[in-house]
Amino acid sequence: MESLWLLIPLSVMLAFIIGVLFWWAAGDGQFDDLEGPGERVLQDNDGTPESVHNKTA
Amino acid sequence: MNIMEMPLVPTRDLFNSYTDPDTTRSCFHCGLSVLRDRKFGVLFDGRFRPLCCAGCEAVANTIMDAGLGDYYRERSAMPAADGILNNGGTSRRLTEFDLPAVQSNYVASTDAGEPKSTLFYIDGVTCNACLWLAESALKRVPGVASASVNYITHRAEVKWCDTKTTLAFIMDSVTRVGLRAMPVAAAGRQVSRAKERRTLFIQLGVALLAMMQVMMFTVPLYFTSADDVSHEAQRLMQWASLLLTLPVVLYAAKPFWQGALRDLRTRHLSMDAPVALAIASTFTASLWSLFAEHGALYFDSISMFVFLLLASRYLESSIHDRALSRIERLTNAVPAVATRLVGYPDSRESSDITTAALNAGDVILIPTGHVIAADSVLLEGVSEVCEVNEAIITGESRPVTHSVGSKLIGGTLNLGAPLIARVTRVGAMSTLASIARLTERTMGERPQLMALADRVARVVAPTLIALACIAGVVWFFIDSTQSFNVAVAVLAVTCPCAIALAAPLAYTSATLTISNSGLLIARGHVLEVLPTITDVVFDKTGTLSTGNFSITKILTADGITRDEALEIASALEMGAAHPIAGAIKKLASHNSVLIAQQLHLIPGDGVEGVIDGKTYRLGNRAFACFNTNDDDAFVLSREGKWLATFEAEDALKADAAITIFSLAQSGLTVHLLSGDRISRVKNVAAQLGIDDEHVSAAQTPSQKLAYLEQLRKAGRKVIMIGDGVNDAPVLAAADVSIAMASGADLPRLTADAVLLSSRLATIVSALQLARGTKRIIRQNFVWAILYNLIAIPLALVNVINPAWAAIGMGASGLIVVLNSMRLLRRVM
Repeated sequence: MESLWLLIPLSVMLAFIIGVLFWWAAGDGQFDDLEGPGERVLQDNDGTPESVHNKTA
Repeated sequence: MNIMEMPLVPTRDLFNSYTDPDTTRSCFHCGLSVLRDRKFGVLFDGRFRPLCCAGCEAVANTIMDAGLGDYYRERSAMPAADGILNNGGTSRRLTEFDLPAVQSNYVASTDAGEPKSTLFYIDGVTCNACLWLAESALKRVPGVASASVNYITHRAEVKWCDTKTTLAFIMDSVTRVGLRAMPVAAAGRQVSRAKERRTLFIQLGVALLAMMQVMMFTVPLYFTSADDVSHEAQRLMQWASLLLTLPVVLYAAKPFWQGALRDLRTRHLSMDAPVALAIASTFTASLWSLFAEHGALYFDSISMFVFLLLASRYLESSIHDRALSRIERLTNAVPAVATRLVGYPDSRESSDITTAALNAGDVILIPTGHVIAADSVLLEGVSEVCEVNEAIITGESRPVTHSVGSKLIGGTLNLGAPLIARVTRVGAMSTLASIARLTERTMGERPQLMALADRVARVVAPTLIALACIAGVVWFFIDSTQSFNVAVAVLAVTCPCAIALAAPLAYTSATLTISNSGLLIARGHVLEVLPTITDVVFDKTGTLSTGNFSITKILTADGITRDEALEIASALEMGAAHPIAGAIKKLASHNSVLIAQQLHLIPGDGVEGVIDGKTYRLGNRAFACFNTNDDDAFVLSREGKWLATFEAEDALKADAAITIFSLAQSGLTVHLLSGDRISRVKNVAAQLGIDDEHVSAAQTPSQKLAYLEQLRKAGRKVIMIGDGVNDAPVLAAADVSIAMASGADLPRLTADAVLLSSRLATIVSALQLARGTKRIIRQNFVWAILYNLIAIPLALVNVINPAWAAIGMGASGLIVVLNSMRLLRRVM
């Protein structure tokens, strides 16, 4: 049972850290668009605009 | 039908009417059929891909040149054809956005030297690849620092340097790839709403996190005896629960505190007040128990309660957002700049002015193809009659003919010669603004059942408070140590949560699901009335057909062949863009050498032209043959003598027959009222399997109204499906009216729901969902009432311990939420 004295405060701290991280991420707009980043990974395989210009030039 | 009143601006339907089923080649860009003799194309993956028109070729070339060919690999839907066709028209007007006064509306204020920030709405999107295309096109504009498209809201945030590029150039870059970018006004509502929504999301997340963690501490204790866990460990877990509940009470529950404060100020009790009271009392009681080291703790109940209520709020706000963004697009219809004639009528000197700066009484000039900037009265048209496409307001795709003195609506499109008009109403008084306002109002409407639930909850809440107090006092005399516990237990275990959520959440979920399927519900009572419907009335055959005409029959005079007649008609219709003209041109030989000269378009009647020195007319019978005997036929004449008659037919929607079959299957009587002639209506009814006794042709609006009244007098509940324009009074008389909208927004004023998709089957699934909603609400109520009937007496006699209070309250709410969520998951 002694382990509870460590684990419970730890879990509370963890919950608060997660809470702050979530607060920051949501405030930063990271949950505003849950579809876009996934699509971009699949589609945007052409690197920077410059390299594309070179490719098409 | 006056075929000449068809729009001069091509529409998608019209475009489809050019397609030829015999052709197997389809346009690489837009997917429409490619005419045999067209030579447009683009090289992709080393192969020549055919394209249907110069518009698609320009777009495809731009896409390939920019190295964005992946769009064609990734897309899952064809682009919207009108986006391509309107190409030339929009880019011409984009430069308006570079005027400083206009630009300032769309650019968020930034420090000098910093990139400017503008929000665009990307229109014409059909799949995710379109959004990627728009984003890539924006990023490739020199001077654009960053561009990011939100895949859910279709909004693009662009940061750009005004020294290197212009707003018009940025918008044009999107136009060139076949989409449209409309800047969204920087100031105002949607910014603060987005912020509000984000805050609500964080509060929801905090409550969820706290709820889960607090339950980790409390739930195991409910299932173990006190000996298993040492007293000290239990105390530790209780303190941990308090710590985790603090953010919930202080931060996540903020909307309820604010609501309760507002209630106190306005002395009008809403649901927020009892909710706040429940949170406050349970939290205080738990706090007191914690310090006094005996009594019940409700920390888990509090966080669960807050989470459940916030979840339903969040769901509701997402529906409101959807509706609001539609309103925003509507208000974007007004051009940013108007041309004002300062010295009218003495001089014709014109100057550009921002639309916002227009005042009633100003005289404005509206060039051909421009959008009318404000509600106004026509003073002068260069030609006798003017043509205005009022589709955005009325849903009527045919142009409306106006003469001097008639009213023009801001946001509509001038298709004819330049007009001069005097502004009558601006800003909040304008037609567009009032449509937006009314739409917003209907969003606030609640179905009767929901209002009833609110009232019940409002009565229940004070009753519970009183009950808790009485129980406390009674128990003070029985056992004073238990008095407070009982009072709090009564409050906690019977939170009006389940009752308050029973109806709203089910309605919210159903509304969201139905809107997603393409039926926008505009009035609160729709979902409530739909399950009781007994009759479905289709107003107009147009609601069942696609608007794609094809020529079914050609009658010719002696000495002229069918092909010759078609060739002449095709030459006369050279520049015309109405559906029947398209159907004729499709049938006619493409190798025709005939050229019509001195073409005159007589709006409402037809077209006149000279071929080989002879005057031909094509249009309604009165016009073509100088005959008073007018009918629906489309007639070709030479020097006033009849040559040929074309009969056109509108193709039925692909899912019309199955929709009517499923409606009949679910026990509904299907009616068809139409203003068309009997033979055509009978034909349509026969194809669709509608009983003859329920079909009425050649009906005037007042006859339709009488028909409807008769049905309703017989005790039938009627759903009316119309176009929402000419039939507005008829629609209004039905129990539920559905307007078939094609980008039009006025229907929302008169109709209870607007069918945005062209799928008729959506109506069937909406009916089914409405029935399901009714069932689920009934289940919710039965459960909530049953639960309270059992829980309250148990709490009153003090047999409910904290474990059961928490689980009971949480579960009763959760069951209601989950039961309602079933309406969300149902795939339509």
